[in-house]
Amino acid sequence: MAGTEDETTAGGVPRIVGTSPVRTDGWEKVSGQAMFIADLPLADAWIGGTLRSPVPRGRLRGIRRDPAFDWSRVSVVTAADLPGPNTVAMIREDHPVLAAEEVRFVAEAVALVAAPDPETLRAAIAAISLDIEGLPAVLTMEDALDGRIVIWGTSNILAEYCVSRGDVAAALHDADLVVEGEYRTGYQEHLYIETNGLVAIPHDGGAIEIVGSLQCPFYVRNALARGLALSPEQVIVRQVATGGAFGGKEDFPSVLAMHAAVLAQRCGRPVRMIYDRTEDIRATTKRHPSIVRHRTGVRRDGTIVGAEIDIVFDGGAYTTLSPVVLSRGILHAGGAYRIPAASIRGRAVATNTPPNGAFRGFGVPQTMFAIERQIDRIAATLGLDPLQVRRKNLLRTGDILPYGQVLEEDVGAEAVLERVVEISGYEAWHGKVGRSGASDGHGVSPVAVDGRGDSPRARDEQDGRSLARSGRRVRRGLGLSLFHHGSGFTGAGEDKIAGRVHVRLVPGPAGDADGVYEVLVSSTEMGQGAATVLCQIAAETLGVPLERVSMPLPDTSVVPDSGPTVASRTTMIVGRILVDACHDLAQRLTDARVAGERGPVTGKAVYQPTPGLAWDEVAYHGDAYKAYAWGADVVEVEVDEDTLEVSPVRAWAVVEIGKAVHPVLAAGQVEGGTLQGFGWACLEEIKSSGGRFLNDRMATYIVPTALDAPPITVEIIELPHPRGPLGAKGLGELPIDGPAPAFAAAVTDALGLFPCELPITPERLLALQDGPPTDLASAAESP
Amino acid sequence: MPLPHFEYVAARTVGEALDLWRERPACAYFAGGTDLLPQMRLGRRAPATIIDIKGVGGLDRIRETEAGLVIGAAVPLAVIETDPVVRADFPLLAECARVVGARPLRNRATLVGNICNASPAADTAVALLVLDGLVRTVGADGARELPVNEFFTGPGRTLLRPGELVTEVVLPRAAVWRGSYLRLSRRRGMDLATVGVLVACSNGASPPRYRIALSAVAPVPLRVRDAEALLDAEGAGGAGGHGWAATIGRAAEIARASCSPITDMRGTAEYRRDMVGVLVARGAAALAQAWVW
Repeated sequence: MAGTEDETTAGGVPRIVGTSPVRTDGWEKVSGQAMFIADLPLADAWIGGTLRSPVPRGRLRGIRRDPAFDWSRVSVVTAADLPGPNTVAMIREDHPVLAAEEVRFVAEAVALVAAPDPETLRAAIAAISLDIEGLPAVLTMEDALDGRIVIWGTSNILAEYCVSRGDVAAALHDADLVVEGEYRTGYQEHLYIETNGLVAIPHDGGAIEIVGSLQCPFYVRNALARGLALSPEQVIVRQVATGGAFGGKEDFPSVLAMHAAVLAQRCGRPVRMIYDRTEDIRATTKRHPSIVRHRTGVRRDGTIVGAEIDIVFDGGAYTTLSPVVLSRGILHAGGAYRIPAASIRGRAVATNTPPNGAFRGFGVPQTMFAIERQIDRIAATLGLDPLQVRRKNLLRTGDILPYGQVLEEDVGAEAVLERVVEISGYEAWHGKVGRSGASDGHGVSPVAVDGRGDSPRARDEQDGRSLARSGRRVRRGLGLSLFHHGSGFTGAGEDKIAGRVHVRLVPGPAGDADGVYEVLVSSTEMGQGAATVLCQIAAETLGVPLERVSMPLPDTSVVPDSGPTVASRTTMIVGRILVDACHDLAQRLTDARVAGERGPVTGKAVYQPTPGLAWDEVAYHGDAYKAYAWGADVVEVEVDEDTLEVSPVRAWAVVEIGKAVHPVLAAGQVEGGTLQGFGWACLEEIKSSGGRFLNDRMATYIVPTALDAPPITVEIIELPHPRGPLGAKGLGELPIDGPAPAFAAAVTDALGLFPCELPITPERLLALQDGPPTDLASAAESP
Repeated sequence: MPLPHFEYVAARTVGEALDLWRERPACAYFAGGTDLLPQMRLGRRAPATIIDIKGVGGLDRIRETEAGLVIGAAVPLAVIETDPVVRADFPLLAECARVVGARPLRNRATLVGNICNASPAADTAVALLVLDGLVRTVGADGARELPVNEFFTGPGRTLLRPGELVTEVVLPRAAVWRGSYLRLSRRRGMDLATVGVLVACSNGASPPRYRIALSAVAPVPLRVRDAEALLDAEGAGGAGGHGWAATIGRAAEIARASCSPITDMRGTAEYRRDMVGVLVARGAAALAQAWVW
């Protein structure tokens, strides 16, 4: 066999990495053969359901069962019935499996019921009533911070970190101007196509098997081992085909698996729990709302000399992953810019709302929106073009980040920025020379620069709106953003995880020559293409055709723990370990065959810490990420001057990701992340009243449809990174960091208004228009 | 929530549908089901029996009669929006039908279902208001013919009596009304109206006559007759003449004052009211531009 990398690359075998073969899971999904959790036939399974708190906070005085109901027909579990500690093990153990003495958010689980059919389940849940004495609730970040009502710890602070470098006070004192701004972002619901769902199957001796739609099988295994007081080996977790996740199946399945598992143990049969959309929106995690305040010292030419940044995230009722979401938000809060002196403080606060958790971007979209808007504000204040300020301050190789990391790699910031400026015609639009984006009224319709916008206009006419749209007064605007995203876990995270990968050759009838290679990892395919990309990396490294490599759905009793499928780590980190495992397989195979052994052979590798990188967890200082991917977006919006409807009509996204293993899938990630970013920017919003989410259906939680998607031009730049497999860095999260600030900047360009809060709705723009004029200069003070 | 249990029965004639309603408990008539089934899932309606009228003879057709064009209760919106006669003679109805939900939904959803659901945001209702549509029903007390302009009595409420079945809608051929349905929604695809305004003019009539109907800004879809009367009076000498812009502005102000929007998930009351003014002015101005008088 072509067993070494040398033969592959030098021996004329066609390259696989860098090409775009058909996805390995494509056919079974488009042909309807893939088995999702709702498709699994389980004849004797019962259905599990959840009774939830109707109030945001209260003392749970009792759970009453209607004596008229025949309780022998169902199984019920409350906190008092749990077999282990009442905790869903994550970062902390503050999240109960079921509320015991106090309920802390609307939709918190209080009791579980399993029944043979939906009608019995519904009747049983209706026959349980909760005796709750309402307590005053904390529903906003402001109320959490003022601390008059304490609902968590001693001060409602779930996590707090500070990062500092240099003498910020002196830098701000010596600056020509100090520009201040406050930026807010709202919730975002993942709205994966398939809701959270899984099945728990009880086995002999207390062992339990979980089969489900999930992102991180070993997180679930560890949570169940803790919560059910079992050994890890007594818990088997298997992923089935998963219809999207975006982080929404990172932490929450541990909660759902605990619920299904305790019910399954109680009734002694498999229990299926699949949320409907409403329950999924009400009860599962969302993107953290945020408030970020900036004070930036600048010179008159736009050079940043110092920055103070204060970040608050709304964590919801329990810790979940908030400390790490906050951490990543803080570490990216300075944006892709050189800030010689910086002081960054971040706090995640507790509120009586559903716990927030992982969502693509993981804290970065919030702080990136703030820094990018702040750069625009600096430009407007100084009368410079936003592009000019970005060019002046962008990070270059050798620069030092606020937490002390020296960027020794090829920094892609300038490359992506200049390329997106070129392909979008940004400079032609803005008149080449620096000018204020906020003070000039321009972009008055009809505008067609270099044929821009032809496509959206043609589409308008197709959908019969040409007459309806006549008489509109329309402005167009162009906005820009520059952003970056660290690949893999923060700091020493990857060292702690110590991800492992196996690659197994199973010989065929003709021996090794027609054998099949299995990539055994805990990484999950959830639509993003991980299975295809990892098989490509293995095939290329092994020098075999892609058709001979497969990646089975992970089963914790079979695959090693490669770590969770999160943090833009799968391609770069797991892919790198996979390369090592392939090399190990080649060696072991040679040894085995020389020794006359004929059976399957497995190559193994474990994550190797990178020499020379250091991270101080206490001081929050050092090499936070092993690599950074870079991105720049330009967005063109159309604004109706009278209705203040804003829609993106064209977008350009340029990303630098080291190496695109599968260029078509990579571009798909960028397109999808960009559209998801537009949704967050102008449409998506959770409306709530008294802690209860009101828009809990797809008819009322509004995300972009295909008709709302503008043409998106994607370009990929490759500056191969030595730590990634064949140079690849992380990509999954990067594309959602840039669209919202670019969208906001385009609105500023079109209307001269300066939105600082997401989503940018017509009502918010109307309020800005009717409010006091946006006097950006007043935000600056001369020290 | 999964659908609760219910009994499904299919009627073959109108009489059979009425009999089924009388004989069975807690019935609901069922055509496209695109409103009924979601409402059952949400627990807002819980019929024990669903009577499918899609197979009732004659209700699945659009036909020409002396009274006007008749659209049967089982005709889906996708058929109406593409029907050549509707497009030629009742273009406003085609336009309003075309923006309901998305195409797969319109393959099932019906015009009659849209008005019986009586949503304040019903897109087709504004067209029927402007076209002076008539609703034909059959019930225990016999047949009735109700003007669409009197049909809606509140959100989800109509003049229909229990068990009364709407069999068809009649579009009288009095005049050809042209205009545009200006509709704001949060997104382009698959969304309910935040505000809907239909401004229309009777083509070829002399003097021209104007009609204005609003959706999603009051408990029911409604006409703004005072604004219509103003445009009729001031436009008699020819729209687009001197002072017409000011007249449009006054009509828009009347429309603003006559709506009573609420704040909900899709928009605030203030924004909706403002947009009624903007869209009435825009629609009226578009009429002036669209035709040479």
